[in-house]
Amino acid sequence: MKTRRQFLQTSVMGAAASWTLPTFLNSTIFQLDSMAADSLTQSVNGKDGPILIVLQMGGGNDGLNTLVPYSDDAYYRARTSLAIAKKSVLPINDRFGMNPQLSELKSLYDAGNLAILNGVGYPNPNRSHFRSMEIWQTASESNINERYGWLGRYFDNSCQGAPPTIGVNIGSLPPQAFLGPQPLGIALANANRYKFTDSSTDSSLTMMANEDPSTFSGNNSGSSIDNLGSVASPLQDGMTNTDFLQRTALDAELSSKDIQAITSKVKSPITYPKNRLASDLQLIAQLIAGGLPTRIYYANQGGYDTHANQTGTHNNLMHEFSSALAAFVSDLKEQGNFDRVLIMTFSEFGRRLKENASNGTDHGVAGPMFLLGGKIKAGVHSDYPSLSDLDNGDLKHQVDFRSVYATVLENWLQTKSDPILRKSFPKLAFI
Amino acid sequence: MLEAFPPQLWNRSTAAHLLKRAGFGTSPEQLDLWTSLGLDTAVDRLVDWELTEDPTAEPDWAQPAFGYPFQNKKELQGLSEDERRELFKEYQKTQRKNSQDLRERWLNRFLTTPRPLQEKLTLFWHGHFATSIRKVKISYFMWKQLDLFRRLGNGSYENLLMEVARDPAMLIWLDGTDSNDKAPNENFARELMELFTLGEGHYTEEDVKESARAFTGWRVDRFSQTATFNPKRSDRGSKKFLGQRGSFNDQDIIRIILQQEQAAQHICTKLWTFFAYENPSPQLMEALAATFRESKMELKPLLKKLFRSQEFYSAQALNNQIKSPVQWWVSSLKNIASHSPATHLGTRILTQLGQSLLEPPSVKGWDGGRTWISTSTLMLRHNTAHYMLYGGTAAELGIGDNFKRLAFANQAKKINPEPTTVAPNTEMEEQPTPEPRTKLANKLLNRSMPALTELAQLAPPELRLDRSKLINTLSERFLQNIPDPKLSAFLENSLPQKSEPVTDQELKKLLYQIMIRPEYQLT
Repeated sequence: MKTRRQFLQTSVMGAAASWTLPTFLNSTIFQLDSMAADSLTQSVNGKDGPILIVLQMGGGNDGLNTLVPYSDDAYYRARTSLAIAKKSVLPINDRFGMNPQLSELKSLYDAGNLAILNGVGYPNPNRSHFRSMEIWQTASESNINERYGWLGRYFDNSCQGAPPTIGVNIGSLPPQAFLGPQPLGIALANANRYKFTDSSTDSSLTMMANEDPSTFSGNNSGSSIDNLGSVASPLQDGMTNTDFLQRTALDAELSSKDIQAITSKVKSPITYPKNRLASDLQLIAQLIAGGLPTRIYYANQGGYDTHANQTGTHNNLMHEFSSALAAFVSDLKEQGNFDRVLIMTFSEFGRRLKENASNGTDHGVAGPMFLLGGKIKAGVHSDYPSLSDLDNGDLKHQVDFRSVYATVLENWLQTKSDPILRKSFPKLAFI
Repeated sequence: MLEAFPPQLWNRSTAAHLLKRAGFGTSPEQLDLWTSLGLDTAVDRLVDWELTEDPTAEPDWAQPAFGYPFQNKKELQGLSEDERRELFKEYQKTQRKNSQDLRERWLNRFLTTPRPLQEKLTLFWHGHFATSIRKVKISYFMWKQLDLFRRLGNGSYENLLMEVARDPAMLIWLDGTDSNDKAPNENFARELMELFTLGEGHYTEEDVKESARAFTGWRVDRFSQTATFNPKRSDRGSKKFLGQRGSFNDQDIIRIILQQEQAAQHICTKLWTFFAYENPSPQLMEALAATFRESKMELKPLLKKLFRSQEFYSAQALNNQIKSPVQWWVSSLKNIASHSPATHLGTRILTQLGQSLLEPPSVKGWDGGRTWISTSTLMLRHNTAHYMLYGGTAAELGIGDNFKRLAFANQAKKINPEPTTVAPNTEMEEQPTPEPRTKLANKLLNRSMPALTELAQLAPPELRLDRSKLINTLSERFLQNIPDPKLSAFLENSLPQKSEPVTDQELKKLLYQIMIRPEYQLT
């Protein structure tokens, strides 16, 4: 697999020496590659080193029907139509147990591969989907609007000069969590189609094949306009839009070649269930097996916003979630890569204790997180929140999600969490 | 600030900028016409769109309860469970067909409308109020909401908000239909302030709770498919809202919101970001907000001020906005002189590019700017350009999943997946028995579709003899810019050096080179 520098050296320098190199090549790529030699920067080779998989449960998963507080009458009183009967719950301890659709996940728990965190949230919770999702993805205080994602800041802090595949989002648009001052990470919805129709034209080279792009974009639409005195080619995050587009094209070209090479030779030996999440996880397993140099994979299972007639929908989602994860874990175990992988699940919020009038549940606050992996310290790492000591009808959070992130950054990704999370958070014991 | 742009600086270039932002770009011939109008008249013509005839016909299904299988509750109750289910299923199927029809009609309208700003602004309001058919389900309601934006998009902001609050699609989208005096639903009240009018930090949780009570009573009657008000479900009690107290109803709440200083700033910033550039200075936005307040929150004067301002034509604005997928698709069809609106394909490609019409990704709408661009979507822009020039297959464009589903749903039926771009496929129509789904899907996936470009119109024979003139003409058409000498040199280099006329193949290669340039992603 070529680095950007190697790619540019063989392609641009060789084939098109007559072009003046665009400024961004000098200022960005070479600088990045020299940063990669810096000892503080984490190198990634795809063969060893930890991998984090973030699995987003979009829409606000009902934590109370995921991990069921079956010993608490308050649960049954609050959920006269939605409560899961005590006898069908898969018990974890004498206080709570799993939704019966999570049988595969229960087996992983029994096998010592799963850590459970109850009551994860943050202070001054926001009940709007995207605001709360933004808070989770940017790891910001709830009253601060942060532009960059926590993984974007991780890339920026610890992975400068890394190949574009350092972060891989399954889905054609990356999550805000990946957003950082420099574009890092790629997005793909489907490996088969992640390629250029015209592979003979180096798209990224065409994208850069004239000198300083800033002389073209912006200020030459009639010389008189220049006299108005505004700034030409404004920078955003230290790059012009043209730089940003060129860089993305280069990353698309390089990552497409790598991914095509892997998917044409690596096939999964495991049969996955037929659902979207399962096929996304299968692709991730394929890329891990093929040695794609990646630290972070990001996948999303949507549909958890169950305001009405929740039971059927939620059960299906639970079943998909559990069966897809189980197949994925078997695949990773088969590959011998399970010890390198940490899977972290989250949802932007849990749901209210009391069910609503439409056999559904409304936006709540705290919810559970799951952490799976070969090296995890299995077990329950925080108690079930009280159902009587509520905050405005919602479970109170007892673990700040940023403590989970801090633990993952420090103890799994082996990097300092303070510069990324902007604050120090207590570490937890799950790794 | 917001000084008028000097009329003597008005030229083809600035006119092109206006037409790209206040519309979807224009052909060279049309551009001459707009340039000759002068700035003031051109802006008037765009903003006062009622004065321009629009012959666009509305779909026949765009009327309340069209095709709804029941007239009233009694009729519904007279049927068995199975009969009901069957009728609903049939109705839902029609809805899916109609919603696709609506998407395609809209996409076509972007391309052909004589009122470019009306459609551009309708797209803005669609992203602003961000209502999705995934929840609304009924196409008529989506059509009705777009119609509301077309009617009031340049009118009184207050009227617009008041109608939106009682719009059936909005009532369904933000749970107004589930709200009543006993259990007021806060969804609409919250988003109204957070996203539509004020922004976070300009109201409290108490304001959300109190105003939610004021919006109760409105529902959507499923049989007549109209919004109806039931006083018995409405909370007429006293409310304390943004420092005022009274027995407020929905309209009072909107009036009070618009009395807030922040209201004008908020919408002005959103409009400026959409039409001009991101992150405008707070001073500039305050100046714009001041004019908006002076004009009693009428949108026309605001839009005219915006499109006539120096800042709108500044270097920060010109050729520096990342094209939205709709902008990219529609302007590309114009640029390549497409022989077909290709709406069926277009709606599917837009979904892959991250802008599914009628389905904004969240209540927040589309973030725009650099978020349009990922390695995947940029690759697909390149591949779509390639398809437009050379033709290709659905598989290459990554829209095959739709065909798989389509094949699945229509396994026993004749289907024509791309009626607007593909000549009738006799082979398929003659099939005596339906093929297995996957085989049919693969066939559709890999069937070659013809190119969309009309090369003869783009580059007539005489133009093909003069290379620099050809490149200048095409650069102006595709990049609507006076060509950069270095860019011209690069483009000229990509044509073989010879004295014969430029061939179709050479021309396509040249156009592909233009369409995958970073400048082409900007507008």
